Amino acid sequence: MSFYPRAGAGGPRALGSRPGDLSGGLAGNRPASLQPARSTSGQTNSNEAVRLLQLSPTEREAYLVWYREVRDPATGYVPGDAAASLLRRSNLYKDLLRQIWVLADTRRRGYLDQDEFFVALRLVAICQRGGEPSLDSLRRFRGMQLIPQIDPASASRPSAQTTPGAASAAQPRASSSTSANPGETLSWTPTYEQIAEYDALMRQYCGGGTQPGRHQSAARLVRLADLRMTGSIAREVFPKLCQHRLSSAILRDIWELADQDRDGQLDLQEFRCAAHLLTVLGRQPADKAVVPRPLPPALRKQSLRLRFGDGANTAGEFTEAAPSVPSDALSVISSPNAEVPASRNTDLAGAFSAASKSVEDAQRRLKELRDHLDLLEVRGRALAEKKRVTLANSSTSTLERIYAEEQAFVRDARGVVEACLLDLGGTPGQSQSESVATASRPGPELESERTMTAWGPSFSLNLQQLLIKAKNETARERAKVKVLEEELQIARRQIQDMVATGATAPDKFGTGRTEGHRRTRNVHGAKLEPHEPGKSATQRRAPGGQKNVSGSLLDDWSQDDADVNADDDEARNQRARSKRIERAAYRFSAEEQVPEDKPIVRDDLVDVPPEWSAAAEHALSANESRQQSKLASTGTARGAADSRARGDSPYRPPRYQGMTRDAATAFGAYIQDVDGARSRRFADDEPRDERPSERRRASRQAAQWRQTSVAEPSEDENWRSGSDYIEVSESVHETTQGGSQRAAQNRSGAMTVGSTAEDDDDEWSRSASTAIFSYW
Amino acid sequence: MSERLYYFVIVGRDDRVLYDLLYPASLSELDWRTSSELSSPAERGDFEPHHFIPSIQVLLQFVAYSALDHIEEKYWLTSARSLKHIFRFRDWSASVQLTPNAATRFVLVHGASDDASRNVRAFLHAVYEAYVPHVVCNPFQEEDAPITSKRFHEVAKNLAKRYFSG
Repeated sequence: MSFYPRAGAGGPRALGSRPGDLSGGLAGNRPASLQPARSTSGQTNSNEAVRLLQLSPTEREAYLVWYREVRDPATGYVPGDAAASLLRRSNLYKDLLRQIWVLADTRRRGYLDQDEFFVALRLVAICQRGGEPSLDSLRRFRGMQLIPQIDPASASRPSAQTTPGAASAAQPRASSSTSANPGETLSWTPTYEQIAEYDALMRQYCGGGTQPGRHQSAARLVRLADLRMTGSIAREVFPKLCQHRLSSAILRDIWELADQDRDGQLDLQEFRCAAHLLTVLGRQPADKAVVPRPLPPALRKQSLRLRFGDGANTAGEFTEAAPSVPSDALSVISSPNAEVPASRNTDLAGAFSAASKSVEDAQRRLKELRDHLDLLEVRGRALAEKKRVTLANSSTSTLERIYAEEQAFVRDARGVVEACLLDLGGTPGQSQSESVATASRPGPELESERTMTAWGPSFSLNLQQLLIKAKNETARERAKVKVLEEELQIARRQIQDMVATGATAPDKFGTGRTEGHRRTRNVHGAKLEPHEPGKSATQRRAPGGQKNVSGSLLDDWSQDDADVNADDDEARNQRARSKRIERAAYRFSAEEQVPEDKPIVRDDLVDVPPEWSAAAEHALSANESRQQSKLASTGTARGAADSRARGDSPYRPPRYQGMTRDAATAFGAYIQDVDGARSRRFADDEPRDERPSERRRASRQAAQWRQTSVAEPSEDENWRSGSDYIEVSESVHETTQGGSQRAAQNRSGAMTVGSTAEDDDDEWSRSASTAIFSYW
Repeated sequence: MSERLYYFVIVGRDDRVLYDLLYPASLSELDWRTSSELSSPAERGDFEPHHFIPSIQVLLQFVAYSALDHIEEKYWLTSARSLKHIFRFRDWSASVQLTPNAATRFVLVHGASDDASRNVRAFLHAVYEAYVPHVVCNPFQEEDAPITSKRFHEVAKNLAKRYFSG
């Protein structure tokens, strides 16, 4: 039935119920050299081991209980089989027990006296803590209180191994009741010492490996949090961590549990989790080593981070606590608490301070997250608004959908934050481990480490998902903005060159015209154009060119191809085109003479999103006031009526209003925004002052490309929002013409035609911006 | 009933079955079990030769294995890695998602009707997307070993539920 190994499936059996028990196996498997044989050299060894044994009264008392249980009352010795059956109930591996026996029974007598039996018990305790059975570990663990965990139920009945039912019934971990420090060895919650060892291992295998020649301190400059353990390293490390006791299937499951974000590598928290799983499971007998599912809450990334820190500071407290980062850190893993017995005295205070620290840490982190989310919300709004403007003339449905998505995203974000705040405020009802949370229901200021782990995972997991989502969102938006930006840059370079090559003839038109007024009536193309009855021939040709401009990109291209093929119309089309160029040039040069027409440069628009809408507002109001003053001076009734009919709403997207001036101003604001994005990008890379030279270089390139010797534009030339408009349509022509000769022809045409065609200037500029809006 | 039955199998090199999943619970007691969990008639103790009825599972596996041959034929003719309706048998159809080297094949047997084969491609792609982090990225997963990842199992089940429950 069970396709996968489950925790409770087989029911871990007591070791004692295994058929091949220790007493038989030990005697049978013992090498010949270890057979009971009295040797004088063994005497000193035994003395050494016994001398290293300095039992505290508590330990002695506990050991004596077992001693009295198994000793032979007549002789006072512990016979081999009785000792073996007792030691076997410590659930240690046979290999370990064999080594322990060799160490304890140094005289090879086959039985132990009291001290030797104590040595064996102590070695069992050491092994249960992860140490190795050796004199060295006896020396290292000297002074620490170690009481082995031995199954008491079968201890009361030494013949339990003959009745497997009784042994398995006595199984459910009664060891914690006998041990002085319950659950210390086999707990899923790692201790600080263990975490220190894991960190040292991480440092050794993943940090130092990249720079083999460097000194240890150099390797430490890499933050622990930045280390990643790849699969190939894990292949090497994992078996060592469990001392080659776990099958590859279990290792696979451990990896699966530990790689909690499933990116194919382990970061620090994940490695801590994996290492602890390996350590704990590696100490258990093979039939008991079942991967816990689901992952214990204490081993989740978030709770590990909350409890033990994220390793962000180089060589943090835990690596420092680790004993001197040994050459083979695996010896550390097998001997925990080697150098830190002193900390055991201050365990309580340390735990409390750590707990309060972790709570503070969590609160700080939560605050950061909240700020971040606020920022995200603002940014999301700005992005949505920007999209609403830029996509105003494209598909409505996609626009609405995107906007709705944005809104939903922001709403979600708020919801999660509120939920987290509620959670922090003392109602950890939704947390993962209910029992712990309800046992000590915390206020936010109740610094209890247990409550931290109780509500820690759930809320931070939520936040993590949310942040990932938000990150994806912003990345997507950035990409879109970047694409737009690049397009604009290309177009801008070309039109700048065009402006520079002297199509600035019609300065004589002066500054009386307001481009905002022109924009007011142009967006939806020719059908909105007022038809003027008395047009000259050139004027009547204008709609053809206008259609050319107002068509989509592809239309433009195809039309230009048609132009190339049709030699008859070429001259005329070229004249039209060059006239258009000339109009654009005129427009921009004219605009530059109006000081308040300069765009409001908002470089911080992307960095500080809420001001984007403010910028749009500002641009609009400035434009409007300018227009109204000019309209008042020129007395154009329609423009005034337009601006009146607009109402006083500060900002309305053109899509919904059907008005063009809004579109124009908003689009101008968008261009500024893109400017801001770019300048922000520059500000990241290089000083802010580099921008003009960047611009100049671009224009120089353009000039070289067109092989003209016309003066470059002045450096302080402003980047007109309107120039971008024209650029887009012109860049289409540029790309299709492709040659400098034709461009030159264009210019000459512009010079000749532009001087004669002031009548339809207004109409041309209208058509140009129409083209822009239909394009965008 | 059989219309809405889906049998998903991952086939490794040498046509070894790495993982399989039967969806949904239309067959009475087959609720969310992989077919390897299903006891055979012989195991149930009620197997008698003259009562033998080719079960629906046998049919599904037959279609899946037949599809493997068609994969090898079509593999050289197309660069697509997702092939829908690669093989039809009566009212059953098999669709396939291939890994880049086509060593591992994701075969889904489903009803041939449009309704039943609606989300097939999306499902196969999603399973493949889950296969990469859950199985391929695990350094302790031997190549061509049966997939025993419980998480992957959960993911596959949920994907099937999402795409095929409608």
